Amino acid sequence: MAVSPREALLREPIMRDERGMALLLVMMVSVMLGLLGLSMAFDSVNDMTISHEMGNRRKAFVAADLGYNKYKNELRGSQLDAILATVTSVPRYISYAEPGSGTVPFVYFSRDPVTPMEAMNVDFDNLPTLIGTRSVNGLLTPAVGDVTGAGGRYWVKLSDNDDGDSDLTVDADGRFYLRVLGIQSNGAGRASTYGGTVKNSIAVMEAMLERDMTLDLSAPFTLYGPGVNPASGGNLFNGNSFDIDGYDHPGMTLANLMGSPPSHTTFHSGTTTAAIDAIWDDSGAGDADDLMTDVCSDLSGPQAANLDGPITDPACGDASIQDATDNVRSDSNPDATNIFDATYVMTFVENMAKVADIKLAHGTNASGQDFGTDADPKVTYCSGDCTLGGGGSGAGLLIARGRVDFNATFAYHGLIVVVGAGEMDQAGSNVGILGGLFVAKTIDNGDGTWSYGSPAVTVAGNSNFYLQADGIALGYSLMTLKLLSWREITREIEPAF
Amino acid sequence: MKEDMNGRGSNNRSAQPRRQALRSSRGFTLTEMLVGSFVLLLVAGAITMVMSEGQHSFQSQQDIIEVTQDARLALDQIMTCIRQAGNDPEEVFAGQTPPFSHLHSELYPIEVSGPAHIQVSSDITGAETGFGNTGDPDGELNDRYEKVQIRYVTGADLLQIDISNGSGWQIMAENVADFDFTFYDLQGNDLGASPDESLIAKVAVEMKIESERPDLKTGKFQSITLWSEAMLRSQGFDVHEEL
Repeated sequence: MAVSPREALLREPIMRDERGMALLLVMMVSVMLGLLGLSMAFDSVNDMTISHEMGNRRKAFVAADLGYNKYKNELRGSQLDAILATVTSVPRYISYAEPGSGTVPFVYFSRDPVTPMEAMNVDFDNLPTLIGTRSVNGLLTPAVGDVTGAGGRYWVKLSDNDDGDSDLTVDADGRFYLRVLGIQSNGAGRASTYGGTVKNSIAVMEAMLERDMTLDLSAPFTLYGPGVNPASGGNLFNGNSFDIDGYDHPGMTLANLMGSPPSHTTFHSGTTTAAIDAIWDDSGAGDADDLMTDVCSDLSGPQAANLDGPITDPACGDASIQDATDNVRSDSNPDATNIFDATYVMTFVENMAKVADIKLAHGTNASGQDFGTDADPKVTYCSGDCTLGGGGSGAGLLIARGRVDFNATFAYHGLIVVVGAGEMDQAGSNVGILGGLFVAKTIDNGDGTWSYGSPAVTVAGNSNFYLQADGIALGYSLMTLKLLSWREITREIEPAF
Repeated sequence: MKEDMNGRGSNNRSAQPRRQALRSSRGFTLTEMLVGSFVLLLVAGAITMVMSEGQHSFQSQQDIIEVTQDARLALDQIMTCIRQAGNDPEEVFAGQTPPFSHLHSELYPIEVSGPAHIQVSSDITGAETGFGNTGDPDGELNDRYEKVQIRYVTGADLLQIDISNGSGWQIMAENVADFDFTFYDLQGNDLGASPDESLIAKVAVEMKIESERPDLKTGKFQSITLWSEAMLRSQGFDVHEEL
């Protein structure tokens, strides 16, 4: 009898083995479960990747912020031009086209401490083959960045702004850019929603900072107010041993001031300064005329000659003194006229109090104490009346918000600011100040604003004030940098190249 | 040597009785089929329940993850705007000199337009007109991202943004059940719902988001609350912030 093909097939032993059905069912269920599991796993991995990237983006921002805060603070007291002129060879690990010098994109490209393209695509923990270098001015961090922790890193670069001098290595206006690039490694081999090749998440921030040059004084002794009164006794000047010298003294040091000199006159330089600058912003009342009169009328006999400097006033017995109010008004320094605003000056003083290295309470008598050196200048803040002397010395910025009495021997290199009560008494002391001194009386108006009154000073004994522009700069360079602009840099706001 | 049907040689004679036994099998009885089907149904039902439970749980988590990611991105963008609020190197904001501009400004970095509705003004770009108004701040507030409005639409549970590029309101995040701004001065004092805008130094954002669908098992929406705060750094409030 003929057998149909189906029956023939059924007679095949392997097809009659029903136990295979169980295997088939198990396999089908397994495949379904597997597909479902894969789908879930894919979604989960995708979610984890996105979350990971968002987390790393935040970590990169924190790394950049860390670098920003660290180096912004470290720029205080530093020589900006020296930093701008310093060239670092930054390694290049990937090839990219640089924008042409002089083009708009180059201006922005040149502010990058490391290019965002490299920052995203180089595994800095396992560096690839070096293909070249790029010369970068003003890099504050090492060429491969500062490491913040596992996979975190940042670079910081200082750049000059367009200040009109056509030289990006010399600062002319105290303004500069601080650009920080932070990265967080996405981990070796980790996939990225950006296409699987981005090794790091990055964040870029840029601040435009300004070094406040309000107190870039032009004289060793600057008085601000409608007039001036004696701080002790009945005179501003006593004896004939004091010396207020309006010549600049470049190169002179605190050691020169304290030790056995060469004579300070061997450092003399400059032709346009006076020993005392009198300033009072009231053109209707003749500006500082009354202040000048108060000083000149107090000089007796040979004392006028103790006010030595390139600029002299015949009406004041040829003493080196000038009404500098108009000079301030016409100063190319954009911050100069801030000195007319007592509220601005007191806000500055209050800000400096927060960052002072040394804080002296009202009533402190600091005998023999040191307040910084040329190599390590300090910000010293006295919250009220203080007495300094007894062989002490210091360098940097000294702010007193009250009365300052100098006694015995004291030497200071830098900038001294006396406000508040605005009284400075050097009666009978042996004091040397190399740099500049600003004395003004400030009055609290009770509404958050301040106004000026007449300060009080007494200069006597063997007190010497020597102008030094570098010393004044040493002082104001320690001020907190002013933030003019803070932006997060993204591709959307940066010209592409 | 004998060969089987696949042509493979075999010397195993003991296999013969087994093959014969298998050939004699004529299939399952009805009872076996019923019992087998019942067991299969039980197993399939159990598997389905377990899988369904897992699927619901997974789907529910997936929903909340998706809206959370949208919300995080939105929060990140809002914080970036707030940090840059009042950026003003060219002194667009009237009568001000950074960093004390907030004391005298007539145009405030953050203006409160209503409950959960603010406008953030900042000069952050625009100097390079030949490059799509990119580059440094240009002393104007007419480029994109320079006047950003952010608002919460209560009934629609939407968080929207207008980045001043002519596109109007765009959705930042959906399924936002609640959204609030809190404004602080430099000393950390809460300035209330109608703050003195000249004093705003820090802004905190709190947003509660819900899953798109209710949980199939509980019938409830899942929710998560995100919070962040930022200082107005461009206004000179350059201090450490919570991230």
